[in-house]
Amino acid sequence: MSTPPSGAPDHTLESLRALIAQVERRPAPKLSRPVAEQQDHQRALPFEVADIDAALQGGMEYDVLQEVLPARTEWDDGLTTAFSASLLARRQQEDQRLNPGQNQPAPLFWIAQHDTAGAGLSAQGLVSLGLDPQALWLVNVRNDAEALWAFEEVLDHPDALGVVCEVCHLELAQSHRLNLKAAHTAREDRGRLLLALRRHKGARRPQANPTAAATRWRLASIPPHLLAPNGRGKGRAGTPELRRPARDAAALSLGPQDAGAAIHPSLQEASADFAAGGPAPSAHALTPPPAHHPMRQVRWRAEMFRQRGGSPASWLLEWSYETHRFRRLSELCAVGSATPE
Amino acid sequence: MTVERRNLVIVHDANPVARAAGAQPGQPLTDARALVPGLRSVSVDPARIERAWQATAHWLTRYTPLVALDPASPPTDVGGAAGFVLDVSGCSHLFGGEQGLLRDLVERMHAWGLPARAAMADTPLAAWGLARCGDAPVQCVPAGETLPALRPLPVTALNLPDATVEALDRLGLRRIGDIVALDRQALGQRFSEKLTRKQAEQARTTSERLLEALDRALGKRPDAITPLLPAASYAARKLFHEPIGTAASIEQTLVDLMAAVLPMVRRAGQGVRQAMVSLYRVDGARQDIRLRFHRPTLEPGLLLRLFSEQTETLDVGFGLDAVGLSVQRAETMQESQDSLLSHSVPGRHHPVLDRLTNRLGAEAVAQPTLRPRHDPREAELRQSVENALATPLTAVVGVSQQRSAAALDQDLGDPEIAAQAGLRRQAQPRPVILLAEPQPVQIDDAQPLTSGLRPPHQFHWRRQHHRLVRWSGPERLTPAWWDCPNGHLGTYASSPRSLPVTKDYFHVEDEEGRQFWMARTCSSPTAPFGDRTGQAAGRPHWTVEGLFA
Repeated sequence: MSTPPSGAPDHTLESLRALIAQVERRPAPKLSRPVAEQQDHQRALPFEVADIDAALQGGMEYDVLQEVLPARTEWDDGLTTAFSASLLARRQQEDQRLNPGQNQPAPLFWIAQHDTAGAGLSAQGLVSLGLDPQALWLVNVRNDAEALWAFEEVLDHPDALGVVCEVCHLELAQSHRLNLKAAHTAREDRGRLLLALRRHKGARRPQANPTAAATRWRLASIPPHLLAPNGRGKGRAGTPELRRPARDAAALSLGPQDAGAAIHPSLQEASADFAAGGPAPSAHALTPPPAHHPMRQVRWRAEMFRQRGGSPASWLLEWSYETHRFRRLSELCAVGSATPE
Repeated sequence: MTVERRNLVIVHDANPVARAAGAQPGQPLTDARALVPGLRSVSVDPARIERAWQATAHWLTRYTPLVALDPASPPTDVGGAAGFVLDVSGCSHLFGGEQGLLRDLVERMHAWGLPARAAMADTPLAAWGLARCGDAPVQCVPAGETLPALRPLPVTALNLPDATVEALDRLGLRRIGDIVALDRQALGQRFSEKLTRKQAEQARTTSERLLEALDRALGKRPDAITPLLPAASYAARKLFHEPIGTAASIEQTLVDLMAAVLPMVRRAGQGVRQAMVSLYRVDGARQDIRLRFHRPTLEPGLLLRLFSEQTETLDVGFGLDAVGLSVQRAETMQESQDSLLSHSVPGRHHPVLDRLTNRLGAEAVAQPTLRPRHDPREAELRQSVENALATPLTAVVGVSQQRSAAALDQDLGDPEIAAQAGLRRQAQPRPVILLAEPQPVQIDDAQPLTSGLRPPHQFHWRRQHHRLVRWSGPERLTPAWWDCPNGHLGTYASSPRSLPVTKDYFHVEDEEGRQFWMARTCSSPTAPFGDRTGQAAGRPHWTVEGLFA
């Protein structure tokens, strides 16, 4: 065992990364970037949620593929659509902030297949989420191959702000090709948010096979009983009901691959807090009738299970129909009684 | 070749050998078999004959863009011969003169085993007559010598109805020369000598038709043909001695053709909106590739790119012997000054949109636009690229939310109901996905059937059970009364399915945290939405309309 002298491996790693970046025609590898440059919002879309932007080193990187997967394939069409649309809305907000006084919105593209959920995308719903649909081009394709072709074509549009492409199957090589094309057509002054939205097509489900996406997100819904303590929940948190938070945390974990393992500490905290005193889901007879309460936000458990040059993380996240902003739910949790209900 | 007609198999056409042996078109096949024991028959479908006729006409556009099918004796009729009329004005010099063109045409037809007769004359009808009744298989009448050429032909060469030919035969007029020699007046009178008025009328029309045909044949009356393809504004064509087949050579040909065509378009101050590349295969098939643009363009690069994207599916067979480029639609080009800074103004139109629509279809790329309607399925429209680019941008964001809030104010103006529903007068969010069809849900009857302004406690949808935790609403959305058959009363669930229906919409969340948009309709026509207390008179019908998350 010959350990290299300290300092040398860092240097080797850095030069190798630079070489890879050169081959991939990408700006500079993230890790070797100075801290000041990481705040450069031109190259990434900030969530405007401190933790997430810190974990992503500025936000969702532009001009590189990002991937969104549903946790429960057939049931999370709405969740993943709303997440992608919210990100596009964020992208539009950023564009308006950086280029005020534009007389027309810059184009966005949404490539949907005739048998995926995006075919039913609703302009009114997009308006609710804060997206200006006048800028949106809906491209309707028949299959994955056409979707990827359209994605590549759309990358030639010099003014595009963002592209969402719904595909079922995405190979490593295909995603790499898209990344190369995106890097090749990238503009200095205008970053594009590129999302591959993985969809089921009938019985065919997307697999979490390796892709070249910079970050990969898996989205799940948040059972509301985890978020709505019964008012006196804080008082009960100390009682020796230790099993339930653990089980709820496990219930939140997604998919067989990462059962229990990928739970971020912050999430465990959050679910422990929320779950204390919440109604037991199995107690059917005691179920209270549904409460009349306006729903003014979309909520996700957003698990970033892979990040190139970074570590995975997950958050409870919401997008408000009123303010059109992301918010992290553990902030809500800290406020405690400020949660709705 | 046989066809089936009224349960009888009859001979549609027979080759020369069979004809010589006695088989005639129109005979029942059994009769023909009796005459010619060794007869071999093939059953054909009239639609296939029609297709072949059309395909041949398309092939003939290699000589001239103006090709018409001859309706006089369609090949789908028993014993009919496929005829084509070509207007070769200004085209023949490309093939070594008129004689050369005809010879080339007939030789190529013979090479495929098609016995063809061709004639050229000043008028379509004269050429028709010469081709059908002339002596030589290839006849070319120089300009101005039509009449002498027609004189010896039988009167059938004028494409006359059988009755007229018979009448003329009775009068001893068997050649066109005989008719031409007669006085026009006398000819008309000769026919009207008949006795009864009805016969006289018939005779007059007969003589009129005869005179008209004569005039058309001699060019005294204009005669038009109806070409298969609309005449192109600009076109160029290139012929090859040796067939070409590689993608590179085809593209090079297109570059050459564009160099010929585009300057013409430019000189007219126009740009190409729609163009067609025609590829003529050696085996006679023709393939057209259409290129469409949303803005007039003159850039060869754009045309070439659109073309090369469609060549993947191209089948050139044994090669191409001609390639044509025609511009079907040209529009005035709005000259714009190139800006010094590239990308300075984000334009709404970009060639990327052309590429997408050319490959995926014009309807595949659309822009969603909101309409002032409450009914969610009527409230938006997907506009094609062309329409979207034509409509000016307006500030629409927020309008629909304001409208739906206004709708709430109107519909739920009753403070009691509003209080019961706990309504805040605020815009309701709309689902991001609207299901193509409202999907009915099953409601568990063991649970108390909720009615009135409340959603059910739980429901079954898509093989899964949903227990609701939170809800908000309702929002009553009504279709536009001017679209409804019974006016402002609106339509309720008892109306036919296809009509938009007034519904109460609820935003609900189940215990897993998924948010749906549910709608309720009632089947009772007298009190479709229940009484004041919210008790439904009929049985409510629940559907899932969309997904929020």
